[in-house]
Amino acid sequence: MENIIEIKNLYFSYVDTDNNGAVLDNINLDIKKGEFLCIVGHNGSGKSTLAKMLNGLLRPDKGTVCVNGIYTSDDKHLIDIRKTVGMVFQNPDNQIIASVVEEDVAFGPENLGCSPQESRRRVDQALSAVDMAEYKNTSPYKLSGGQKQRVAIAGVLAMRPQCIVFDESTAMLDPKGRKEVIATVNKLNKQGITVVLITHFMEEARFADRLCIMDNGKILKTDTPYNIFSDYELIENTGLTLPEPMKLIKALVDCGIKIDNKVFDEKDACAAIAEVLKGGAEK
Amino acid sequence: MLKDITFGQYVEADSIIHKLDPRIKILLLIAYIVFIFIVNNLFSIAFASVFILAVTILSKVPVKLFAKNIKAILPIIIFTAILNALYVGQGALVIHFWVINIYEGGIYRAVFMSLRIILLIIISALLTYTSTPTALTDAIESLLSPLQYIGLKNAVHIMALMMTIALRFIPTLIEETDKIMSSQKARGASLDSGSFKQKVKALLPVLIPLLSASIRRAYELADAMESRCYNGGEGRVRMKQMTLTLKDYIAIIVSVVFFAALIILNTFAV
Amino acid sequence: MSLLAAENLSFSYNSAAKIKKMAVKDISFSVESGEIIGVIGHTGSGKSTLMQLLNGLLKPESGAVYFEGQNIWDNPKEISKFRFQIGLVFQYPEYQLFEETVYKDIAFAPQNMKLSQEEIDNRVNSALNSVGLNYEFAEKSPFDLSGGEKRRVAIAGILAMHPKVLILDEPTAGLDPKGRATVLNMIRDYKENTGAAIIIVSHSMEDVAALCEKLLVLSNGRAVMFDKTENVFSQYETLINNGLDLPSVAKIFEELHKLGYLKDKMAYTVDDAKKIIVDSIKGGALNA
Repeated sequence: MENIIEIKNLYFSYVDTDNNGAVLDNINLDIKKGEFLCIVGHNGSGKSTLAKMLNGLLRPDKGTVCVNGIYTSDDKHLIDIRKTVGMVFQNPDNQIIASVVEEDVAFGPENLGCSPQESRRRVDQALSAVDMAEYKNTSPYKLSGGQKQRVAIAGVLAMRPQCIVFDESTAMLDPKGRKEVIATVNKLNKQGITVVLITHFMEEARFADRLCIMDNGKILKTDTPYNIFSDYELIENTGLTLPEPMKLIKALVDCGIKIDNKVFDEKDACAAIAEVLKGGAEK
Repeated sequence: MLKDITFGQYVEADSIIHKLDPRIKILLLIAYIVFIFIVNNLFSIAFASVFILAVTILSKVPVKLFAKNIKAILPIIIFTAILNALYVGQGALVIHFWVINIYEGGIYRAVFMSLRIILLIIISALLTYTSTPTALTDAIESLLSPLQYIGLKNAVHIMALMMTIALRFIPTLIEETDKIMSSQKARGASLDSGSFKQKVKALLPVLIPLLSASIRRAYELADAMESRCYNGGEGRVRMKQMTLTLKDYIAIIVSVVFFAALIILNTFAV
Repeated sequence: MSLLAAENLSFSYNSAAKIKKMAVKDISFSVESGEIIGVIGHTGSGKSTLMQLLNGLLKPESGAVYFEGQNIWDNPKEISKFRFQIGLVFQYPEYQLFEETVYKDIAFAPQNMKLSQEEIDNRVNSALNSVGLNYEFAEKSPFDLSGGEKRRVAIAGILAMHPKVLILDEPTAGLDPKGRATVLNMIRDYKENTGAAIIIVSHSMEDVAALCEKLLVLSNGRAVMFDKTENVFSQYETLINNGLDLPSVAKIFEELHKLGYLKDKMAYTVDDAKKIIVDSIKGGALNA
């Protein structure tokens, strides 16, 4: 598969912080077109800094980030990069610019110089893609957290990006809002948009094609969610926790019970446990 | 409580006045103000009152809202009326009491001045009641756009963007202030007692977090705007282009006819 | 006499802001020393309003809050006395930090309590200790700390009041798993060490299952249930109807019941579930 983003030997540190250590320390990562990549790590692991590298909000101290063949260090083509790689942030309140939903969504196309008719088309499409069309004349202030985030996603979609980076976009939401946003993310990925999801909720990582674990500015491991989830030691050492169903299965494995550990959610866990209980009963 | 502050006075209603182009509304407001100042006899101002009353009814904005506005500056109206009544010494003497003499001309003048102020308030309120803050911002941007030809290229855009963002964040910041005040009160802060100096000092626990939160918001908003390809006003094309419709032309024509009638009345009425 | 009791509390916002904040209608419940009570409910169910009523930041329209048997609004001038006894930690409390140093910020409430300098010193130190930060932090600027540290300093600012009731509105919101665990342990320790009552608002069914003895379920401003944790979770349908859910482990057990396994057993935490399953496997093996 073709790569949409290529990161090579990336180093970065904030000049004005006390800690001398690099925030990003020799990152090498290729993001493939159409894939769903998830980056997890605890707060301060460097994952949000990495996110800001992907659309040129930050530039590497050393190394390169290349989006569709354009380096983010190339000032002349920043707009092209940002048009290609959209970004949804953490705080829903701090990324909505206008007092009317549809005017906010129009902000991107307006900046790109789209004609009013084209902007209108894109805004309507983007709002229906996130199921927010009925709120187009509402004030964002009146929306729930999940709805605000979906408006923010629509604002990015209206630029027609090939890739969307979600920088902890679910961290401040309640469970309902989180579900809404994750459902939207999955839907967009199925429609062919490359997704980079940055989170510390491990349960959101299960739908990803690949999962990166970050710690101390380094990518420790990139693999399928299943392979990462079953690396219990790695997860514990990086200050993360498994989703509850996996925690239960791990606890059972630790007790010496032979159980299928290919488990993501409650249904899988139930099936695995039922299998063991059935075996126990038959013995 | 802070939350009770509502921003903007927009009253939602389905009326022809609501649907007029906000630019036309602003320009017409200016014209009405000028003409109300030009006319100088009671007969003309009475005619203007009837006309503006009709427009007010047409706007479907509850009359009591206008009454509230008038009530708010009633002292000024009364003060002006009394002053005029006392100082104009034309016509027959109507009231004579101690050193106070009120003449026919004075009463005439007092009524005229009161009506003039009331009309000014009503037509200004009419604009804010029937246009959203966003519409007004856009209209001001559009009306000021000729300034870009005299070297103020980015100024108009920046000012409009600042107004847009301010409008967007006012409710957020009010909510935030409320929350910070509550959290400090939960720590025993007394925010509304003591001398002025004490009060100012007591406000610091609210102002500092508010300021630091706003700076953080500003940084995050800047990132979000840049991520959405914001690159200054250059090349930006607004989605909502304001275009004049038949309603606007009708409004202009009706207003011009009204102004003409007003001038004729003003010139020939005795 | 309960430590803190709410009797028929009602409150409504009479402004345009009511779209965002929900009213509270006729809520009664009580808390004893040493109890941890979880408050759950969907967004807009009135949780935040209730919390502010409980510590006297809002005055109820009808009904009353009793602290150690005394109506906290008996003398409105004395209300701050109760606010010190009933400590309230807001959601994202780090946004309330304002002083130049961590020490001064934690000392803000003790100072408002007009305590002696010596007592203030003691309280700041013990509060820092309770939130697991060493004394080196005292002279740092709160604005230079990491997100998790700020959160802990803000909580320490309330702990320094030595409240007999500690109310926390989603204390783990936005924290990573490690930060969540730290904060939850801090809260548990505070209860163990002081015997205070804890009221914790949370969206995480797993957290309340692990932490709370009793749960208060709110929906549209009303108290739907107030009961022992396991009794509340046994009312699966009521929870779902009010926009809530079971802890993940309980959902696994519900599924197992459907398949005919462990029918008479239920667990809400991973530890309990593990024990039940291990026992039943070993029991099964023994029976065979």
